[in-house]
Amino acid sequence: LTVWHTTVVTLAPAAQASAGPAAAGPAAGTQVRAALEASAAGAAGLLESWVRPTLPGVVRGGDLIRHLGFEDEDAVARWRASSAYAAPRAALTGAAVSACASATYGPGRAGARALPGSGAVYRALLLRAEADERTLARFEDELFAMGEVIPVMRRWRLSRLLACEGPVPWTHVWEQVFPEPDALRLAYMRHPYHWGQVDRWFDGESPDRIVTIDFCHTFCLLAS
Amino acid sequence: VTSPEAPVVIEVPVVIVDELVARPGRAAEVLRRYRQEYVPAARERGLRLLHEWVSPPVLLEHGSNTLVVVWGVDGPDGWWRARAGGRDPGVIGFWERLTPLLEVRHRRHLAEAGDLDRLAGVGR
Repeated sequence: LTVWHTTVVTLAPAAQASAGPAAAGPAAGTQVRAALEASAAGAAGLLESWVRPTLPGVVRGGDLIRHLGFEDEDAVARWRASSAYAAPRAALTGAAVSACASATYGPGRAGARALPGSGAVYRALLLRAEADERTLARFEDELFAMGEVIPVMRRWRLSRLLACEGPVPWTHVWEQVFPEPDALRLAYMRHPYHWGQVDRWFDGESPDRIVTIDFCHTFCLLAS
Repeated sequence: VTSPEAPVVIEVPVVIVDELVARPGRAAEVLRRYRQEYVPAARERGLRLLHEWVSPPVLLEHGSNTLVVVWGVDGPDGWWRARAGGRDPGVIGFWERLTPLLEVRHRRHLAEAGDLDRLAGVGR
């Protein structure tokens, strides 16, 4: 059963300009991105690995996303005990990085839909939900159903966290792949199932809110 | 979760309903505080106050009243503008202060049945 490990890195202001895909030279942001890319290269049991700069509009979503998929929890544990994991840590705790948070999770529930085109925008919502188990189950069912009800996602997956590093003890990650940024920014946000039903779990005015306000909403281009 | 960045493109009427069940004898205070402490800032977020209904239609000294407050906004973009209240510590604090006066409350989001297809297609 695949286990994922996603890291959100926030660069210090001086390093931010050099993290994008057109960056060149030994600037600090480029070094951080290279360290992230090198950190899992060749790891046993690694099924998926990418690092991308985030797009404008994230909320506490950092500047870089590293997304890894491993064949099981043991593979994640072996990687985290390896020198390949330890070596780039200096780059991730140095002056170029102002914050770094990671989530390990899986296998979760997933869905998919065929949509035209080849573009892909990855989005992750890392959140902390505080409620009893019955309420959490209702929340998870409604959140996961967004994939079926709002027909603008290629893929979606809702997972509970197995482990977490960072300032917020997240409990869930809600991941989606959209065909293009406006499918996330407009169609997804404006769909009535989003604001008329699911958002009440997040809304500070709602008596049903269970998600803390310090969630991480981050997204990036996978392909265009 | 976050506000869309595009300008308003559609204005399907959307209604937000607060249903507040007051503790016995507290309905008048709930209504007064809602009007004084909540309504002005809500209007600044684009909410239009359409109705303040009371059931039963007499304020009870010893029994419980239900207040149904009906707000209007302009479509999903108007809804997200109003949603800024859910991130405002002042607004969240108002609801926390009101809670001891209430037995229960609900907030619902509604639209006309004839507008559902237009709403579902917004943004696509």
